[in-house]
Amino acid sequence: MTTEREPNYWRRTLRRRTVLRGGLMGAAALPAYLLVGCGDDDDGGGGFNGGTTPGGSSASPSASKMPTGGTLTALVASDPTSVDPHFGQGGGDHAFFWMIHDNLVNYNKKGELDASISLAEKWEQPDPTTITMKLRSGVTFHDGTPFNAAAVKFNIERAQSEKSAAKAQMLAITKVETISETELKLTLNKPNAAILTLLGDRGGAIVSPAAVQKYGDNLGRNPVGTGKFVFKEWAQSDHFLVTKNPNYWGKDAAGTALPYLDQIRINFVPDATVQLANLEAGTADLVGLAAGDVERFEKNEKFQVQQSPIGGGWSGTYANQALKPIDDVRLRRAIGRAIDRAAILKAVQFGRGRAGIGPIAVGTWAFNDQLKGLDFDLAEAKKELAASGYPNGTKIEMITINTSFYQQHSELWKEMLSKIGIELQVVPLATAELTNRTFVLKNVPMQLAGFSLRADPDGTISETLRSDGFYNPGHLPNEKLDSLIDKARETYVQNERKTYYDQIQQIAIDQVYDWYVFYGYSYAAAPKNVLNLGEYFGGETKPRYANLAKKA
Amino acid sequence: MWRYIIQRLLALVPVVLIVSIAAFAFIHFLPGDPVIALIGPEAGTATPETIAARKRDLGLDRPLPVQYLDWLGSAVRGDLGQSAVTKQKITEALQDRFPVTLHLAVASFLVAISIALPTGIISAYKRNGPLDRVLTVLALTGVAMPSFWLGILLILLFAVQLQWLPPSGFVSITTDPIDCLRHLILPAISLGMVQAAVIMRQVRSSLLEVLREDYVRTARAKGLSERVVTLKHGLRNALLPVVTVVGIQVSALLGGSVVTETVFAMPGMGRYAVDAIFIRDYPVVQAVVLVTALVVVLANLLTDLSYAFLDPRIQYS
Repeated sequence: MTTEREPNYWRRTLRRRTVLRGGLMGAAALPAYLLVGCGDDDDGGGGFNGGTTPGGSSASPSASKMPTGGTLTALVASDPTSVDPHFGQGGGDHAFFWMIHDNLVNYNKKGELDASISLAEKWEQPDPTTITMKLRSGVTFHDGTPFNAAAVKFNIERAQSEKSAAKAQMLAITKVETISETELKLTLNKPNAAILTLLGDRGGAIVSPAAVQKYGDNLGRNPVGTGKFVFKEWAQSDHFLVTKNPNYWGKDAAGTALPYLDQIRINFVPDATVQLANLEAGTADLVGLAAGDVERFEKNEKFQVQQSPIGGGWSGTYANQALKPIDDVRLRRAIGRAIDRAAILKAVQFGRGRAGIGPIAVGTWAFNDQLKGLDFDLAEAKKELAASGYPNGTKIEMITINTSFYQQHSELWKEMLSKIGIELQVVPLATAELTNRTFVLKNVPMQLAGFSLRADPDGTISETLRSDGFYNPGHLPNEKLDSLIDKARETYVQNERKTYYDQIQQIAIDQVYDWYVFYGYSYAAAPKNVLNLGEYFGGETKPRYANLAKKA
Repeated sequence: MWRYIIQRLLALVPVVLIVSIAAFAFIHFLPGDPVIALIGPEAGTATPETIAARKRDLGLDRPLPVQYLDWLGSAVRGDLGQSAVTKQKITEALQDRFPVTLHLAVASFLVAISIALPTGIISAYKRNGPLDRVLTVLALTGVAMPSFWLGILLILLFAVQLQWLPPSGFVSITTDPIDCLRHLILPAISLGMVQAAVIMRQVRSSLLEVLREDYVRTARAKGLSERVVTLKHGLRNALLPVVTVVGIQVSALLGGSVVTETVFAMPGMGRYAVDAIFIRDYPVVQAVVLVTALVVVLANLLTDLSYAFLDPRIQYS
């Protein structure tokens, strides 16, 4: 864990230049595909992005002076499940609770941990299982109560409680000690490079302890944080409204107090066509785009289109390697070689994205395009099949999501595999049943869906490849792989972690744990008077509305 | 009359009970572990204790009959429970949402009637003529056209191209009557057109039948104008089957509101059901089905009672 060049690694104060890029995650502006392992709680683990920047300001990289004021109206398909960061359940909740809550540690749009946007203005690691933190002082919750070390202790313990969605993420922290009003010590069960990144997700979002006392389980409809916006109202299925926090502690690079906007109103419009109609009619300022609509808005000079800087996880097919016939690795390889990833990307994503290699998505620090993927090669596919236990082909059941997108995608799989004599029996199902059959009952060999980006590569890797991973339904024991996964999590040096992830991914590709078809991007469109759109997709591809500004 | 109403109301009890059992059973027998479905994509990171806690929390660890009776007991007392996902009280949510659906239903009904009655009468009056044929084709198109498709077309024309009306959303009549109307026009047309087509065909056929009756011939023989014969003598007698169809259309209206509210992003009861089904929010789905069933059976009762007003010969006993 300690490199030769940095003999005192554990004693040092982590500086910005040593900041490691954290993982990125999440699926944001509703790509047409829906990823099954996508949740919300893109958790994962993360590069120990240890890092400290001078505390205080500069929450936005915008150097020029941004206009302030105005109301931004954005559209999303459905309500959040809750705005309680710890107890909510939905993948779409983050966009809402991040407007109202700050995180103890936060990462910027590049996925780097960044103290200037965190409630902890500094953190250090005196040894591999201890983290000490210095908290920002003078910060108050929207209800007027003070933010301090006791509030952080309360929050972490709440995030570890039984009903918390972040419980699994936060279990690595075994003890939280308050040293003073603004100092804190966290003890970990073992070295964990992911933990600071995870504090940028649900588990590290800070709610007002007084509000928890006041609202109890109903905090999800009465959120109180320290964030840029104050919760105003939530009319279910209609709209969600937040107003500017006039006492917010952050400023941008030009010294302008944040946030820029006076109000953000999010209207719930389920139909994608109607969302776009609202944008064109001028009744909305921001809408997520499916890949198929991007070109139309790029060509319209009234609008601007923003692409997420990184891909939102992988889209492809899960394999249950414990089930016949795909317990035969040669058959899995034959399938991998028979699938033309580029053709599928072109057909279902209009070419927007990147053909898949391994489980780690394009644009993230652990992605490596030099890995030897299972490239499309029909002759090679036939050779592998001939050498398998099924030289004359076979029938295989594949379940998928019951949407037109997956219908089209699965038809391509069916067609491509028929060329090597494999007959796919495609069964479309609702997502709940899909998850149940593949990962709970484990009675289906193949599932076409995908896995959304996690905050740190450890999330993707542990959940889909570790022998006890929920999204690895075969659960075949693989000591070498498990050991590499644990080492990658327990190592704090990013380059070392990347080496481990390269090895892990190559094993996953060679053993065909799953078939990685493509990584898709998220898109958003807005009229040109919406500013700072480059800050819209956070370091996990989820919307960060609070960073936006609007010209009158 | 009162005896009849009480008898009918009592007869509703088993109907509503059967509906409630069906609603309860249907949602519980859907494939998939309900708790995994509710936890959703995060199931992968949820610990077994979290899953068990959620199950206990939702009362899903108890036998089904116990769950049903418990739910029914609360429902009878007016407590429909709380959403499994948002924790919002369902009765409170329905108080917000029912008026939205009522706005849409009333507006669609007005659109349907104001199109169906005149066109049905004209069609019958000019039977087999070119106008009748045109109206028949239009009515068939109306019946065949999916309301969501018509809705999208209306949005693209009136909201995006002409920018006369807002593309979606809802404003209550008590907040701003004019804005309410502006938001209601497109969804009401989209939902009302389908109803209009069905009612128009019924008005036409029923009127044609009545116009062949002896008393109509007598009226004509007395020298009354065709207009007076059709409207005064024909229409009133032709309305009985039309009212029956209109009564049946209440359930179609509520069913249609599911789609229309979703397309036009109206926070009504139909949308509440759709959202709940997608996230497997059991208590909400059960409650909406129960309330919808109650509205439909009450609408049917009102339809039956209205016969006496239209035709004094009808006596209830």
